[in-house]
Amino acid sequence: MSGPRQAVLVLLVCGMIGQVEAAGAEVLAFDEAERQLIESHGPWPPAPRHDPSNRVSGNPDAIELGRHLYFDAELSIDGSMSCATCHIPKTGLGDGLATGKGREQLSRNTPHLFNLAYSRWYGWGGGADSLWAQSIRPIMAPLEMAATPTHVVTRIKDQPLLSCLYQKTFGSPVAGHGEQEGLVNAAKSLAAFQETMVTGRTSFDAFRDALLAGDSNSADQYPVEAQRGLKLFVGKGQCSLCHFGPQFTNGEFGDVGIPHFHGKGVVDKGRYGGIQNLQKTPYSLAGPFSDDGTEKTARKTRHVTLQDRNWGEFKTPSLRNVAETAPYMHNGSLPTLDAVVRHYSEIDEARLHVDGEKILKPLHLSVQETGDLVAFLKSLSAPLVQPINEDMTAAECSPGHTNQRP
Amino acid sequence: MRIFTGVILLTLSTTSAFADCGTLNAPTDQQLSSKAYQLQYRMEPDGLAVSQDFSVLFEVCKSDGTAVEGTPSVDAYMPMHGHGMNYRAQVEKLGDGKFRATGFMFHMPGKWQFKFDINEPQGSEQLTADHMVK
Repeated sequence: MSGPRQAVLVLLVCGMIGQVEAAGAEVLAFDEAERQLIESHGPWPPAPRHDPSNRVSGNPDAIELGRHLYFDAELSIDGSMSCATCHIPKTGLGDGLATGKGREQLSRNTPHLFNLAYSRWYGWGGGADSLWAQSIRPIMAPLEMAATPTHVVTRIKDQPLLSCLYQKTFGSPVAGHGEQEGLVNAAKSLAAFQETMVTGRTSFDAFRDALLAGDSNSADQYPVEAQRGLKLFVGKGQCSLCHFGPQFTNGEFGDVGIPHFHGKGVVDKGRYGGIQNLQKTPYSLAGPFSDDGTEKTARKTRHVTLQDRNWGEFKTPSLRNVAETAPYMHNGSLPTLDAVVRHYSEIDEARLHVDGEKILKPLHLSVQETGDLVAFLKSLSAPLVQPINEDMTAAECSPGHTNQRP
Repeated sequence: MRIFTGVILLTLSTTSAFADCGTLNAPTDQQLSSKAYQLQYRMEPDGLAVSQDFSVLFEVCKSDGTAVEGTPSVDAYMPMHGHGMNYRAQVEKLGDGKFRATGFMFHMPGKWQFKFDINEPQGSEQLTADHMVK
């Protein structure tokens, strides 16, 4: 390349870099309504929350027992799968598949396990009202771990480390408890472990805090395309109405036009089925296994009401770490965040419940707006505050040994 | 059914005309009125926030100052969204025209409308009040 041409190229490249830096150093103007909504998405991380319905929530021994149970394939009826088989730590605590694969192909996407301590309902249909109740479901589900209370209690009794940790956590050997109580206690330990899966601060959190503090030097570190996406998220897109609060979910359910048939004539009832399950299961906050003597936690379960519009409603997922949890929606039918944004952008109103959410309208986003929203969603990712310890070899349990928080 | 959209008064309610009923009159209590009824209410805990469970303590007095006899029902609705709550409130009669409705939770920000339905032998009325929830 000749000297002058090289010089022109260098100038052009420098000019482009200058533009990129200038774009990255920009803080968009957000009006008061936008700032209020942005503020509502924090602070993060929230204060630790212990579950009053689970007496071993936050207990280090329970967390350690739960950690070992989580990775224990022998908890399943034939030793073929553990919780970690589908909720894989290295793949966003999901499995990366459209729908889960148990003993047979399942019909729903495997949800991730991030920040579950702060959830109101569990599962796509909200069929469980606590993390410990939800933890029982896959252990007992015939198409998943297919275990029984007897099997779970026998496994804990016969495995020395599990047996020791159980006794330390609950004060007596598992054999001294009934089979139902032993199963529930195992689930409460699994819940205590899952409660530790809290994600860290994201680039969005840093931007939010800087924006509210008027710290433009820090705020301008947040990419301008993510800022534009955030503006759409809290504004024109009205995403914040359902993806509300620090967790980016209101914890409830909605019909967003994703088909709820998963085979010829086979329908996924969604929230309708979830409420029906809540009304009949003994493993709920309104049942005999809750440790909350005040009954406050059971209020939601006692007051939730079965409505026609619950058919085909599914849980509004948290968007924290959403970029790590593809594919998306209850049936995993949308492979990328780009596809999700385009789904909402061109939503088919004819597919929505007539008595459902009236504000869902096609947004008709441009290519740049779609990219901006995706950039914003990708800014919601951060590693777990406490990385999951998958090392089962260093375990110890003795009367004099106290487990620390992992 | 006659429908009255109530005006929320943030000042002290004047209760002198309601000798037997009307003791729910803290400065922060909300007030609705029609020709036939005077209704005061407060949220417990105070204030409204998205995704928070709360109860509504309310009192319904007739125009002659006596307490309403039946048990009103209370629900809440998002007019712009075309749906209500995912929960059904249960009303407990406390006596002297006072009631506590438990089981509320507003799951979205925006305008919510309380609907108080008063059913008595002489007729029915619905009093409504709008609240912006952020």
